[in-house]
Amino acid sequence: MALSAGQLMEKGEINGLKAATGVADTTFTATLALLTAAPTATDIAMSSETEYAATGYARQAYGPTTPTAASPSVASNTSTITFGPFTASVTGTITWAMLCDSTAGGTSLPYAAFLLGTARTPLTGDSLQCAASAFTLTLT
Amino acid sequence: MPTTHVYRHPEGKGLGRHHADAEGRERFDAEAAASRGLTTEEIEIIAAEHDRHAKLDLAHGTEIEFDYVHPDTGLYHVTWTDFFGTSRMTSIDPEVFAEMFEEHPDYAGPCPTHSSVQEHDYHRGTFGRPDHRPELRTVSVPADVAASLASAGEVHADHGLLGAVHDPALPTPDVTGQVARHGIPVPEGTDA
Repeated sequence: MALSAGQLMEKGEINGLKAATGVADTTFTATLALLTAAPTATDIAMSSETEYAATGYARQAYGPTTPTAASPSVASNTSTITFGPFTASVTGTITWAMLCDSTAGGTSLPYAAFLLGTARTPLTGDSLQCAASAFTLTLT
Repeated sequence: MPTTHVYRHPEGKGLGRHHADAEGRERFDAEAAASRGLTTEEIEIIAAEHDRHAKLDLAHGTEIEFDYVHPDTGLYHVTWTDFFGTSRMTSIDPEVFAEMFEEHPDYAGPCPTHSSVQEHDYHRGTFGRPDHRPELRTVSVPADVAASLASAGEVHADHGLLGAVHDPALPTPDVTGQVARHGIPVPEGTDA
């Protein structure tokens, strides 16, 4: 069973959260969203999150690697993930990223949250690029 | 990835650059940076970063695929590939989309953004223009075909354009182009 972001957060593992469910067992379209506020333990849908809302923003494909055979197993984003360019209503500071199960909509389920190492405040015209393997899920 | 549109900027700017300029955001100036005391090495690093960032922009001439209209924001979501080969999803304001994204000449599917020819032309800024009226006239169809389409709920009869009764004195119009492209089924035998 997949755990909500809140449930994952309560487990208090890497970077505040980590997935306790096997990525390899999931069949959803894994996408990465950007948040301007921390998720809470009661969040059960993306509508509960404060998602970045600039025009130009859209959730991006997470594209996880195959989990490693080691124990604990590790999976991460295979490739560079780039958001933008942000073109209007470019306000707010991005502090978290959230793995969820669809490209749009508040009913999407949040699966795992990542606290960014450095908060980012884009300006109009900017794109935001995340390195491959930047978002790591440890499977225990 | 089926291409539906191409981004065209009148001055060849990227989409992000266009909006940054419109907002008055300054470009990186190496001379100004030097006058502020930055070293050559520092300026080179910053310039390289600006150059890399510019390559992340949605560049003039980029082919995109229209994905969907966001259910909450109304923004258009498109997929495209950037300079580095990374697949990207970006939301676009509908007005900006109408202004700067041209339908790809090879695209023959239904119009992804508008449900009718009239709405499509209105957003393209061509609705009602004299040079477009002849094209609108070509969608008139024989009476039996119009009745057939109307019964199928595909004709907006109140517009008086798609539902127009064909004048037998005129040659049978070609209804396979614009009409078919907007998702209206064309009965067999009506394409000239």
